[in-house]
Amino acid sequence: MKKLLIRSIVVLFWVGLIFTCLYFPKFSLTKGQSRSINVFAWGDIIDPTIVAKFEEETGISVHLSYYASNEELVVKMKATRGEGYDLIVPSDYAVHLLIQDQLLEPIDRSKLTFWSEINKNLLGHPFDPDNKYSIPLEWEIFGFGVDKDYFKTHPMVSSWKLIFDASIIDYKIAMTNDPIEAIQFAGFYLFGDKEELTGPEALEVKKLLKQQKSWVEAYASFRGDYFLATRNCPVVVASSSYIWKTIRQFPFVSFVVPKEGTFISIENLAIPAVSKKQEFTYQFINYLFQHESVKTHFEKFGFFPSTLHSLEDLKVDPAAIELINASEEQFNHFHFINEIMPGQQIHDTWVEVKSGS
Amino acid sequence: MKNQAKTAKIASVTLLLFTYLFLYVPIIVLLVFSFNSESFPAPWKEFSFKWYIELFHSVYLWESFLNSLVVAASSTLISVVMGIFLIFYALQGGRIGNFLSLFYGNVVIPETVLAVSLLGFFTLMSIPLGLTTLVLAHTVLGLGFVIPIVYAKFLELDPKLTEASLVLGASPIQTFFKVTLPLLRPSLISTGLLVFIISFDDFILAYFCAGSSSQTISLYIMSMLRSGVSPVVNALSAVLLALSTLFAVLFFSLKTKVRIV
Amino acid sequence: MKLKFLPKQRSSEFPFTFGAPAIIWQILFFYFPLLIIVVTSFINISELGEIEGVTLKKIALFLSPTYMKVILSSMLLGVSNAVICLLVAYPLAYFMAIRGKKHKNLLLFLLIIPFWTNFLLHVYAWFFVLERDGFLNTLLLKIGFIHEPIHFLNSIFSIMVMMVYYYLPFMVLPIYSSLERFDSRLIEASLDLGASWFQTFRRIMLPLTLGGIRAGFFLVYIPSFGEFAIPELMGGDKYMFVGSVVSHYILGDQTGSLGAAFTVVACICLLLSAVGLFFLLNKIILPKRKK
Repeated sequence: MKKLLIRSIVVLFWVGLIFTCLYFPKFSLTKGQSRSINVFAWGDIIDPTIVAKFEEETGISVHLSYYASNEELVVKMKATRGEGYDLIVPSDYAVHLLIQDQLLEPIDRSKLTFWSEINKNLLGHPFDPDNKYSIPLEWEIFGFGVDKDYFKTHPMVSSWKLIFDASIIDYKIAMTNDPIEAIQFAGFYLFGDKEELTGPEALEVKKLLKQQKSWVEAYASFRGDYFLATRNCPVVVASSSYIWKTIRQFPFVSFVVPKEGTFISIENLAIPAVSKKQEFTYQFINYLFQHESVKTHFEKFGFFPSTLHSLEDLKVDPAAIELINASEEQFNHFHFINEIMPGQQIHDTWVEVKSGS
Repeated sequence: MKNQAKTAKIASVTLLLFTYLFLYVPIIVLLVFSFNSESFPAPWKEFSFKWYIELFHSVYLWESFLNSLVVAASSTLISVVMGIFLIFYALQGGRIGNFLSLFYGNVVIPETVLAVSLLGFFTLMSIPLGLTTLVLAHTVLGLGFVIPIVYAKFLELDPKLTEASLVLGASPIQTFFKVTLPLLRPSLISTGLLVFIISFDDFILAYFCAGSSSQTISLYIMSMLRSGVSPVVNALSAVLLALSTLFAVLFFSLKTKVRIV
Repeated sequence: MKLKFLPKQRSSEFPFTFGAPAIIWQILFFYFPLLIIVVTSFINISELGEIEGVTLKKIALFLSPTYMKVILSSMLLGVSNAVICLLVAYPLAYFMAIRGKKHKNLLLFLLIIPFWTNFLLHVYAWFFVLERDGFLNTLLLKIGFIHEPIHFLNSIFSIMVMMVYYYLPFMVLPIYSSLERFDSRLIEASLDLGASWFQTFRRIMLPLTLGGIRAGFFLVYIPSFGEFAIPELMGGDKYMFVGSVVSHYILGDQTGSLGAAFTVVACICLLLSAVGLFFLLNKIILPKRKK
């Protein structure tokens, strides 16, 4: 009996020790006193040199961590209730999801120095009607990166047909790897802008995507420019930011916007409700909107800035200027990406498309 | 008979040559292009160190590298120490034999399964994901190597040495430190090196269990590969390859010692 | 190892304090988590995170043809990888163990070095070799073997190349160990007694190295089953394997427990297939007894 008791205590001791170490980060997260903020963002939104300059000028240290998809951001935010992050960069629909779960802090516009310069076209969208919780930071639209040299000898059409119409496709493409986007694009090509697909429509979309696979070289949301540069694919489904970067290095590439309409993605800044460092966060936000930062970010990452006045000395392609200065009417041709099928069906469809032959 | 043997010999040498060529051509090509001034897919232009310079200036790279190092060192240390502890228990007459098979599963199940179950465990217990959870995961892997290998070596030790020590008046603790441990040292170190390298290069466990705030070298490379091609990765490969070669040399020099013992 | 002269311990539980951590760690962080995902697959969790009852719905979801096909693809990937590795590894191990006595250590060393570098870098290296204007195509074009670059990447071929490349040492090492312990005089004896090379190989070498072959086969088959990074990067992410589906569900929003359920289903299939392959291997390698 005594032996059992001693052994139990020993076991409890070790278990206690292990779990203390495991839970330790939770307690040490309350380093709220230090001058620092935790920023959780996409890999190619915030430039480390700008961060370094900010840290130097203000003495506030910024710790950047990355996610690769909005899903990841939402999952982490829900799991930790936003604990540990002071600034996040969700896309449009992610903002909506986070607002629904009451994870975001309303933005205090009086603390912002640049609000009047924001492109009005980017405000007031359904995902956050009064922009109560989000500040548009950058945006991009989806389209095709095309190899101009290839299309000198082949007919070109600025349409979704470039990636979906079997009768004109005799080349390989790089398609997006995001199931939600893929289904949305296919649905749009077949049925126009729809909120939700009916049963038979969903089957049509699946059929189209399966058919498309035969001319897909690879599913790659972020490597599109590589396929253009290696001349493996003359058409690549990508967002404007990627293609603009590619154009600089490979001038034979050009960005084509499908004439039937396309999809826009707005990256927004948002503050988790539980953050206690808001004073520092606002300083950082204002810094991000300074002319130098906007210029650096556009030149490095290719996203369209959300402020209009900073464009004068940006090395911008006239085609890009046209897009950035799009009128309200033109903006109405840009749709937001959302789930047009129930979640589980999206998963099943995507698995079927990829594993089918 | 002689002809048969001769053709067999030529065939095997050819196979050997092709196999090693297969193994090394990609690495050599990679290294060569790390010195190309132009980024792939542009062809060779001129010799340049610029990617190496860019590599050394990358803050995030160093952070990832440091993280990987810390995680690998910690998990190696913890698993080896636990192994030593277990041997101590065994030396004192503890019956481990029955429990040994408990440890075989770690290396056998696909890493994805281990990663998923650990992630489920962390989520259930609300344990924050980060370097600590990754160290934990790697230690599980590490134990799967350390315990079977070191215990097997322990069983192979000549019991007469230990008995002699005890008969001559040393306490069990002294015996452990002065006799058992030194005899086990080569296998402990070589197993430790093995665990270290496995942890350092691990991708799957890091992908699921490291959380977003911690970036390891594998995750860093993966994110770079997913977003395209950069010669900085070539330069990184060259550096890591040099390090790995060093490790392999260490490991092999120890292995030969073990054989003599 | 029983010690005969162990004096009576003062505190009998002192050693236990040290023996405990490893076992506690193993139970807590290996078996318990596995139990958790098995249990999660069968219980119904409401949106608010409360447990509502037992359900077979999640498991049933993954017993559909779509997902079974994915599991089958992974099995196929694993088996073909193991078979190809075996075909390449056996002669290699034979040469190292029995023929190349002098160079044994060097060969082993060279085999192991790639193994010690991060495999992602190797994937990256293969891009350089297999690309349209990569090393291989440039070479073949230069020697006039082909007139147009061959399309290697983003195909099953490139996936298999990388899989074999990565898993080869896992197959070579156990077979090599097994062959090292093999008495080469048996070969001589067999040849002297009039058996052909093939007969010697088939009746003597192969069965006696079954242990090594088996170990290598499963060391390659089982991890290959769960592989997803290599197929994604080398195959253009055009194919779905168990690992891809699992990571898709686990990292998705609200689908974590579905990911666990699929992992359980896949694991059971893996286990069954492993048992089947075990017997199949035995049957193929061990010669039939003549009555």
